[in-house]
Amino acid sequence: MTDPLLSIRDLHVQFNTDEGTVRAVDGVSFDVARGETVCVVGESGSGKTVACESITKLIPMPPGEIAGGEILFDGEDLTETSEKRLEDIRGGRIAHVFQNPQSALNPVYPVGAQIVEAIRLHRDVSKEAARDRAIDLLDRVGIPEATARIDDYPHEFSGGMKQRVVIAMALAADPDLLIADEPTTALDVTIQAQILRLLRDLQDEFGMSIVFVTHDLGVVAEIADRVVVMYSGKVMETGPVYDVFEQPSHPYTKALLGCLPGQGKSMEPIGGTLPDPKNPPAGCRFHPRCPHATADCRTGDHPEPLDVGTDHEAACVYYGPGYDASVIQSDAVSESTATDGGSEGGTPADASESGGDDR
Amino acid sequence: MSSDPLLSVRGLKKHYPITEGVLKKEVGRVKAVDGISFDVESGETLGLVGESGCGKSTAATSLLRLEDPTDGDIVFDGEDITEFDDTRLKSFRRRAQMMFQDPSSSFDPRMSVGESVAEPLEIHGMRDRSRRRRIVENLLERVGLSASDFDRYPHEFSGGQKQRIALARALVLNPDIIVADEPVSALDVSIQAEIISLMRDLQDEFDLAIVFISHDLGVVREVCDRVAVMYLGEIVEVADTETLFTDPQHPYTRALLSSIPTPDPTRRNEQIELTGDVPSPSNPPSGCRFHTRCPEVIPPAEFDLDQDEWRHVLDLRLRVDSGLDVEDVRSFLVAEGVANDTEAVPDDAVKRELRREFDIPETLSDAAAETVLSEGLDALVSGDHDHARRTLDEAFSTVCERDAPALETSERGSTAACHLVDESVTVESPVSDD
Repeated sequence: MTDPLLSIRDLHVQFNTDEGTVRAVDGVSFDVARGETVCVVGESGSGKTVACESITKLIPMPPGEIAGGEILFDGEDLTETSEKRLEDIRGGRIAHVFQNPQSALNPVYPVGAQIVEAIRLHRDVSKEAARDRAIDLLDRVGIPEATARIDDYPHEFSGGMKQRVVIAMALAADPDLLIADEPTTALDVTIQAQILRLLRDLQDEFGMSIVFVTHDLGVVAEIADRVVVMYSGKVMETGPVYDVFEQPSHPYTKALLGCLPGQGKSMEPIGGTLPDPKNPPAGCRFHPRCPHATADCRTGDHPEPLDVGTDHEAACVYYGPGYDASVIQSDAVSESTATDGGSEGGTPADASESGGDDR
Repeated sequence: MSSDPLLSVRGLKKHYPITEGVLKKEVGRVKAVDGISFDVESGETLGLVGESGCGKSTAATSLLRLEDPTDGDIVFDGEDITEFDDTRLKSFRRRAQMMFQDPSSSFDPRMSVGESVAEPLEIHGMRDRSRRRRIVENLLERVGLSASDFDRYPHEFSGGQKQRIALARALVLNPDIIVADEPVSALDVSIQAEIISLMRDLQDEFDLAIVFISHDLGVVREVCDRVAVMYLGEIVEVADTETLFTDPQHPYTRALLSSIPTPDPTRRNEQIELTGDVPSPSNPPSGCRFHTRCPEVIPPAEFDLDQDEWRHVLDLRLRVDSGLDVEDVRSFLVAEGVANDTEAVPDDAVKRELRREFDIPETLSDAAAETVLSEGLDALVSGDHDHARRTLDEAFSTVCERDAPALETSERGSTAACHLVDESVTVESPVSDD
């Protein structure tokens, strides 16, 4: 990939709290090419949201702090950029869409006024022209009878429609990059399907890049070009969406796919608990729950990302010298879930519980 | 199925009045649950699924009389609990327990988890403190925690562990049935799987019936023996889980199932698209409540329209019924730069825009239908809204709008409330599935 639109290099973001430093993002790197959709997927506490909010410094600072690394957006390092310039970039070249459309809209102004504000903040146009553009945007995001709805207040829209309004607002300044953080999590599945389709269509139309943050692997499969799997502040695996789903290479990715309910095959719980963000385990962050963990996994630093295919990397020692990667690729996770699961991070009972169930 | 189910619900209704003014005059009703019937056998898990606002949670609370139902019978073990007085209700609640979605808000932060779990025992008359403690410690171990957790407080536990404790509390009275309202929705997937398998194990061990309420069809498929799909306060389909997932009968079930994102990128774009939002339960659509969004809504016999075309024409008609304002279309076209003011927008442009908005082709494939549609659009554009409405209503009507379908059982054993399943309604043109 030559000249990515966004390139995050070894990003460290930490929160300095009274109870200690939380390294929410601990050395994360990934690229986003132009016109591409990258899904950042992980469970709660994986650092996916913090990583994406750091791009435009939306995290509260302090207590937050970008402790290291680079965020290159179109060649410019956003970690070094002045606040004034960032204000232009936010909502201008980089737009955000959040999980809860209710809190992204101001309840006391009509939606039209809010979109007009977003347009005029970044473009030198008259009120009338901005209003016409707002109507056009509402129509493009699929709000029926945009002219009639533009003066309605947020509470007069349903959840799905509100999210459409928020997306229209994000598109106000023709962004190059749209960062969507769980934009469909608060919506029903049928509405979620509508919004995902909308985002795909808009991407075709506007040619923007999308960073899509989600915990739902189903949504990832639906929308991503490339996937970044995060766990406990680290990137576990990155790769093209087809490769990651066809040949998940990190044990965590495999386990995450294995515990999805309702796939018509038996579900394998991972066992153990999510690591404590203040005191993450040494070595590979996943080793307390990993069925394949070896002595090397338990000490030192988190493994470096290693190539497992074209543009496909996994941070797991099994892809390094002296290990047989086929152990991970071939095995069904089922045989060994309980070997090490939970013995360090979680309660011991968790492991016996999950291991005992074979239905 | 045995002749005597543990729980039998018949025609359950729960309406909430909408009041106005200081005198609280009733001006309308939100029909959250509007006449649902189902049975739960002992030891069985029944799933209740649907989108938000379909009434599934209201059904749950009415079921245990946490809220008094407006109408209907709830027969538990041969007795109608809607007629119970307080004393008998209390003893009923010993046998029926509830579990909620948010594990953090369902515990008193000032009580140790042991006390929380033991509280039902105390309420139902177990005075012996050490015996209570023994029972609870034993139960904590059975849900995968340890006896020493008795004296710890809720904030010391993770979400998944709290949900284990909630499960222990629901089980402490050894109930016959648990109503679980989205018990795993707040948990991460890797934790969800553990709670689900724990629930299954405990269900076998305690021979429990579970009413499992969820919007997550993946979880439901994993947990339930049978599933009832709700839409706008009604059950549209009931079937064994595998039958429902592999051979759904109701178009709503089909659309809902196809909307679940599958973790397989090679199967993108396979969803059935549902247009629009769920209508308001205070004023549900007539006939089949799903007809306003149904992709398989039955076309009138006299026209030969393809299914998509017919859906879009019906969308336009329903929109005209609810008061489509042509002036809005004109000002939209002005905003788009077609003309300088609304007066100057040519009628043809308005008609084209209306067809575009509703995805209706320039000319419909059926000439007779096209004639009616053109007449309707002409009337609409010329400002004769009533005439437009009459014209369209008369020609483009559907059995789905006129008659509410009954729950019919097909030969495959699933029960769906849809005219397509009901043989007494003849469907002229074949309806495609895709």
